[in-house]
Amino acid sequence: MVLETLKKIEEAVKNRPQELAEARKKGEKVVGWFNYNIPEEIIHALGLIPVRLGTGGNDKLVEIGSRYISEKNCVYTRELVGLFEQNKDPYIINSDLVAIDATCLQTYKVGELIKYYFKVNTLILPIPRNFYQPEAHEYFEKELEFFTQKLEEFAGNKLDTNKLAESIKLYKNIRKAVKDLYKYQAADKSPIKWREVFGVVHAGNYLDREQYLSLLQELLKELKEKHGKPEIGSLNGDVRIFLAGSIIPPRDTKLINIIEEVGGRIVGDDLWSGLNSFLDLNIKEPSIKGVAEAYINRVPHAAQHYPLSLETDRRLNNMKQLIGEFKAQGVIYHTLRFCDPFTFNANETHDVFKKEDIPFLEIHTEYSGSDVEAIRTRTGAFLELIKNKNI
Amino acid sequence: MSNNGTLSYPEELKQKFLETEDINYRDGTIVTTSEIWKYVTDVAPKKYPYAYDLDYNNRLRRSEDVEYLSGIKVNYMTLSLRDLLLKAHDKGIPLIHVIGGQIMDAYYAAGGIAFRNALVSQMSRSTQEGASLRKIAIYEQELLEKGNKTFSYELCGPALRQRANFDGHIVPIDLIAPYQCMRCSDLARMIESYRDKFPSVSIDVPIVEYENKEWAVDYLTSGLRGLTKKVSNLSGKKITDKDILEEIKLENKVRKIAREIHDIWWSAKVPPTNSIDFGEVAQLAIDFKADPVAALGVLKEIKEEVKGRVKHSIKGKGLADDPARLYIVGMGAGNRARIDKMGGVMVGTDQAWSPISVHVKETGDPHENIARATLTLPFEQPVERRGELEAELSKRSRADGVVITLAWGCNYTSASVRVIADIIKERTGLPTNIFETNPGVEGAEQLENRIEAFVEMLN
Ligand code: SF4
Ligand code: SF4
Repeated sequence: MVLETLKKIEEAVKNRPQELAEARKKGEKVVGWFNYNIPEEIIHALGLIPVRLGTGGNDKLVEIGSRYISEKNCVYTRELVGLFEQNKDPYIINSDLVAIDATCLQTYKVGELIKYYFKVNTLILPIPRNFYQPEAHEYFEKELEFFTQKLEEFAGNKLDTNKLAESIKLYKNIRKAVKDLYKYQAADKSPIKWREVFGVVHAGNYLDREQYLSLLQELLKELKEKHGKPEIGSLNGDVRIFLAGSIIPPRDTKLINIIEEVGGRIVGDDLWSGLNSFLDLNIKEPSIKGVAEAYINRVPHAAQHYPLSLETDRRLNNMKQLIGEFKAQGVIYHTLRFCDPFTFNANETHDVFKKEDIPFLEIHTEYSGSDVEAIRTRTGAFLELIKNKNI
Repeated sequence: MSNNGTLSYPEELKQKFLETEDINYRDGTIVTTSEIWKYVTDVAPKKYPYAYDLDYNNRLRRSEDVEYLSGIKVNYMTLSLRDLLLKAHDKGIPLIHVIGGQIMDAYYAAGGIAFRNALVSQMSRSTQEGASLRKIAIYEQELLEKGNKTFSYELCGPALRQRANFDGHIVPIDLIAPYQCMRCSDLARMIESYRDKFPSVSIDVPIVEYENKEWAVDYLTSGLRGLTKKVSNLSGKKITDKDILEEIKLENKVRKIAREIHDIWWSAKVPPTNSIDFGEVAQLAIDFKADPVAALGVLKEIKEEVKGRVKHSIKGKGLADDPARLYIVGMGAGNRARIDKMGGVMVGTDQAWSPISVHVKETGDPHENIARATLTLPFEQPVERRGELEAELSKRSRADGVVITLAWGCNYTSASVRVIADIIKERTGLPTNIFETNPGVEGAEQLENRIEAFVEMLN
C-alpha cells in the first residue's frame, strides 16, 4: 500500500521548479549549494531560498563535464560540471547564487570551473582541513562570518538573531523527523523502504523547508497510525545491508537497484546524500559562532582527513553505531573512481570491520553501465556469504 | 646499455675545476674541490652508474655539459645526498618528508631537514648501489606496485613510491609534515593511513579566495608554530624567533639569487645551459639538496658562470641552435635531455618557480611572516589567479609554447589544467598543450613522446 504522504511529497517536488521561478519573479532569491558543510540555517534566516544541487548517474552529463574537468576527477564532480554546462536542470537555472564549501576539494574545484566557464555567481566557504584543532574552530568561525557578510550583501539584509533562532529550530525539527523516518525503514515488516526514505531526503534538497517539515511530520503520523511504533525485533531472514562511502546523489540508482535485485535489503547508510547530514548537528546558540561550532563538530566527512588515532575517528565510530542501531549484517562500501576521500579509506575501513566480524564489500564504480554485471555477481556472492554466516 | 655513451669528466678540466670554490656545509664540513672531483669521477660512477648513462631515454641522467663547472658541484650534491642525510640522521637531525610546494624556512630553522618526493626517490634509488639504468627502472616499478597493493592504484605515482619507501623503511624518515593545500590530493590521505604508525603533522594552508584574510594568516601561523615545536622537540634544538629570522634571511638569499639567475638566463640570446642544468637551479633553491648553506654557495657560483656564458653567448651543451622554448606548468616534463635532443629547451617550471618567487619579511614574527609568504605562493592560488601568474611567467621566460603536465591521480591539479591552459592561451596566444601521465616507466615515456611531438610542431 503506497503511503499517501509519499504521493504528496512527489507532487510537491514536481511543482517545485515552477514555484521557484514564480518566487524569483516576485523578487525572492535562490541560493543553490553543493558539497557538505553549507549551513542552510543562515541562508534560510536571511530570507533566501536554499536548494541543494547535484545529481548523479548520467553518463552523458559526465562526458560533457569531462570537457572541462579531467577524467581523473570523480564522476559526481564531472556530472556537476556537465549540469552547469547544459544549464537545463531547473534548480541550476533558478539559482541566483551558488554557494560551495571546500570540504571536498574536488567539489571546490567545480566551483572554480563553473565561475570561469559559465560565469556562475559563486560564493566559497573554505573549510579547515585540521578541523580537530581548536585554532581551526576559530578560523572557521571567521570564515563563516565572512561568508555570512557576503550573503547579507546578496540578500540585502542583515542576519537577525531571532530569525536565525527560528531557522535553527526548523532545521533541528527536520533533522529529528528524518532520523525518526530512518527508524521506520529499518523496522520489521517495514511500511516504508530505505529507498523511499532516501527519496524523501532528496525531496528535502528542493522543497520549501517549512513545507518539508510539515510533510515529514505528516508522513511520520501516517506511519505511526497505520503501523505503530517502529521496532527491529526478528530479522525476518532479510539480508540487512548498510550502505556507506562516496556520495549517491539523486538519480544515481545503479548500486541501489543491484542490491535490491539480488535480494538485499538496505537498512541504513552513512551517506552525505543520506542520513549523515542529519546527524549530530547541535547548534547551541543562535549566532555565527554557534553555527560554526556545530558544523565543525558534526561527524566529519571522509574528505576531512583525520590523522589522529583510529579509536577517536568519529566517522568510523558513527558508522559502527549506525550499523548497530539498524541491525545491519553487512556493509557495502561504495567508492566512485577517483574519489580519493573514500577510496583511500577503503582498506582501513575494511580492516576495522573485519575486526568487528562485520562482512564488508567495496564496490568501486562509476556511472557507466559496463560494470553492472560484475557488480551484480559480487554483490550476490556477498549476500550469500552473509546468509550462510547467519544460518 | 646506453645508446649515447657514458658521462665522464675529462682530466684536462680537472685543474680548472680545482680552482673553483669548495662546498661549505651547514655543519661546518668543507668538501674540497679535489674531494668533489674524486667523487664524481671515481666514486659515483661505480655507485650510481645509471646517473652516468647518457641514454636519451634516461630520466635520471646527469647533464653532459661537462664544461659547466658549477654543474659538477650540483651533481656532487645530488649523488652524495644519501650520505649527507644518513650522516645527519645519525647525529639526531630529524628527516622530514614534505609536500605541497612550501618554502622550507620553518623546517630548517627548527633543526630539521625537509625534503620532497623527488629527494625521497633520489635517496631510495641510491640504496641500489651499482645498479644499471634497467635495474633502477625495475626497482622503481616494483615500488609502485608495492604502493598499489598496500593502498590504492588511484594514488598518484609519487605518493605510491613514497608509500612503499616508508613501509619498507628504505628512507629513514622521522616525520611526515606535508602542507594540506590545493595542489595535492594524496599526501593528506597517505598521512591519514599512517595514523598510529608514523609521526605526522599536517599544516593546513587555507584557501584565500577573496582577499587577504587576516584570520587565514593567523590560522596558518598557528599551524607553523605547531610544526616548529614538533620539529624542535625531535631535533632537541631550542628554537627562538631570532633563529627563525636568521634562517629566513638565509633562505631569502637563496630565493633571491635563484630569481636573479633565472632573469639572467631568460635575458640571454642563446640559452646558456641545457634543460637539465637550468632545472637544477630552481631545484637547488627549493630543496637545497638538503643543505641551504651549501646550496647558497653553489648558486653564487652558478650565477657567475651563467653570467659569463651569457656575456660570451655560450650555449648549453646538447641544445639545438635555436631551440623551441618550453615553459612547463604542473608536475614536470620528465626527461629534460630528450626535450633538448628534439630541439627544445625548458625555460622554467611553475612548480619550482612558485617557492622561489616569494620574499619572506625578515623582521617581526617569523611564523607570521612565513604564513603570509605562503599564502602568496603562485602555485597554490585559486585557479584564475594562478592562470594569470602562469601567463605572466611564460611571457617573462620568452616561451614559445607551454606544456601542462599532470600526474595520474593528482586530482586537484587535474581539475585546474584546462582553465590554466585557456587563460594562458587567451593572455599570451602561445600554443599550449595538456599532457596527462600514468605512473611508472611507460607513463613517463608516453609523456615524453607527446612532448617531443609538441616540440616538433613548435619547430
Ligand atoms: S567526496 Fe568523493 S564523490 Fe564526493 S565530490 Fe569528493 S571526490 Fe567526488
Ligand atoms: S603528484 Fe599531486 S597528488 Fe601526488 S604527491 Fe604530488 S601534488 Fe600530491
